[in-house]
Amino acid sequence: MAEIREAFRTSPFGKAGLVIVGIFAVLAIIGPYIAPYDPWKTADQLEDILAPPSWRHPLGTDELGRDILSQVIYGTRITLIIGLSAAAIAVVVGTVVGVTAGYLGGPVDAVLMRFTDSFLSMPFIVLAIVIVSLMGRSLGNIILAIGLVQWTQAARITRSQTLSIKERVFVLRARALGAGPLYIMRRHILPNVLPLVFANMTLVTSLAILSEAFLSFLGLGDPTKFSWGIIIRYAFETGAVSIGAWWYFLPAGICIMLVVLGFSFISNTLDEALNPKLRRGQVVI
Amino acid sequence: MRYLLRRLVESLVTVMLILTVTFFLFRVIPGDPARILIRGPGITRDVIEHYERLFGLDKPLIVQFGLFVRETFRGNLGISFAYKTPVLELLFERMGNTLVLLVPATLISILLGLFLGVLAAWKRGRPLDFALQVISLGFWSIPTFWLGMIMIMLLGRTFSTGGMVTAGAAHGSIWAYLADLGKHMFLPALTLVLIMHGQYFMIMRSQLAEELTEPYTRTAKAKGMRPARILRSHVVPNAMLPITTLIALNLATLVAGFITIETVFSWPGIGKLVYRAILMRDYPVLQGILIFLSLSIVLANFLADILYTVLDPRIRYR
Repeated sequence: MAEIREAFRTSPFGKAGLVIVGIFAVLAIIGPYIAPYDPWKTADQLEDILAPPSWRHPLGTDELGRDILSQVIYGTRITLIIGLSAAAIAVVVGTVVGVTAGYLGGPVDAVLMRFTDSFLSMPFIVLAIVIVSLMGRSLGNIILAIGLVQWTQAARITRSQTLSIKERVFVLRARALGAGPLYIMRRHILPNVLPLVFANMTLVTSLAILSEAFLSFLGLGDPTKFSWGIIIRYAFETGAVSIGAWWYFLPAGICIMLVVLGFSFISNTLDEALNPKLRRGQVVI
Repeated sequence: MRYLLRRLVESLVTVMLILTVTFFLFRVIPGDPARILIRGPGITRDVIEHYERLFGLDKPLIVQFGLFVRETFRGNLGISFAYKTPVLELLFERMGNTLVLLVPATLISILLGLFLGVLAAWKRGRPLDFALQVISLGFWSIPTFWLGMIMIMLLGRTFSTGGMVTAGAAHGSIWAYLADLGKHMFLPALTLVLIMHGQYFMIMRSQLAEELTEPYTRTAKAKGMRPARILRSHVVPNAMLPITTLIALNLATLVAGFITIETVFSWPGIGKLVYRAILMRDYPVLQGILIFLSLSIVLANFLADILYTVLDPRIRYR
């Protein structure tokens, strides 16, 4: 813990990441209370259709006269929910696979790791596209699809960490005292891999937010919700690019970029604090 | 040789696992199992019966799986609902177009990323390193299609967009054709390079940071070698080995970028095909593309391993 605190104290990236993610987290919680309009409310007057930013609509309106700023604010919550839940599924699956493979070793390890490697060769976005288009475009299916294609990294990381922990004296001692594999994995291995799992989860969250944007853009987003990806999708469908309606898709994209950047800053800082390889030995030139 | 043989066997196991995952994905997920792949709108009774026999849809799942593997290895990926042509034909038709855009863009991204990575590792902790990290990570964080939309808005009038060449234009010579192609290619390729170089930058920078802690760097320094020379003749060549593997391993991450960029720029490649297939619920095409891209990535990884043994003699004698 001390190393992590120190890393965030000294790294400008780490601090920036925490601030960015913090701001969006607050926005996700209080968003619906501060949004100026109901994001689904269509315009009463014709001049509010695809209107550029004005005092009444700070970020303009879409082709139905709906307020873009309110859509982006509502989208914060949905996007963060998708990103974090998908990442949670991914690291849980990955940790179970990785710790099991690493601790049991032998044929179990060989089979699980071959499976993990095969997954790495499959273009994860196409896999997610297939899952969502077969199962239907709902929030839950999108989360599940992204979670199920992003678990490989966590599996590899926890496996290699487990391999080194299981040879430590306290694990050998527990085994000598008759502790079963499930008990050792839960009580001794898991607490020691959790920091790495957590660091990986921040990275997977940023990947998941990007994946959601890709899926939504390709028309696989949940049509009953506003996520940032969906807003850009609607803008693309409406032809906002050719009519120059920049206010329609610029804000959502900037939000995606900031949040993804924020999470990857945090992940990099955690990596530097936790990865002994990066700390070991001085760099001479 | 033993190493390559082992990698070959591993690759074949991977291929089988990919086929298994694909098969069960399309057949076990709720919906109209199995028949979902042959019951498209507008497909005639004859075609359905032909495929029911070919894929043994009245037989148990395990027999179906065997037939599926056999047909896949024969190159039969089914018939597209939307185009009414074999999926493999469609893929071959479009693959060239995708490669024309993707290969130059990827090569430039790799070179740019590696170059900037060396620069950042050399100036580690200085403002230049800081700026390069922010820029690369910043671009990496942008959804490709969004940057593409901005590009079209800003530069769409200067460069041509929409398709590979101007529709209906008569190109007098091969040069006129290439000039037109280049004009259409510039924006999508630039977008891809801007987004993709970031991951190569990060790979190179962290790999170099690791190499720089190795004892041989210290030895070179102790001999009085200048830092630029240590990097050029010791550190970078050593880092290149793991980097070839990492680049091949990361191939799967390119797919999301080119699918959406082809959609934004109406580039008639495999990505555009994916987009159409989603809209039309053209499941045979989706399944075909999943298999096709996965196998391409396995093949590329295997080729990278061959390259690795050529570059690193230590592997050959293992």
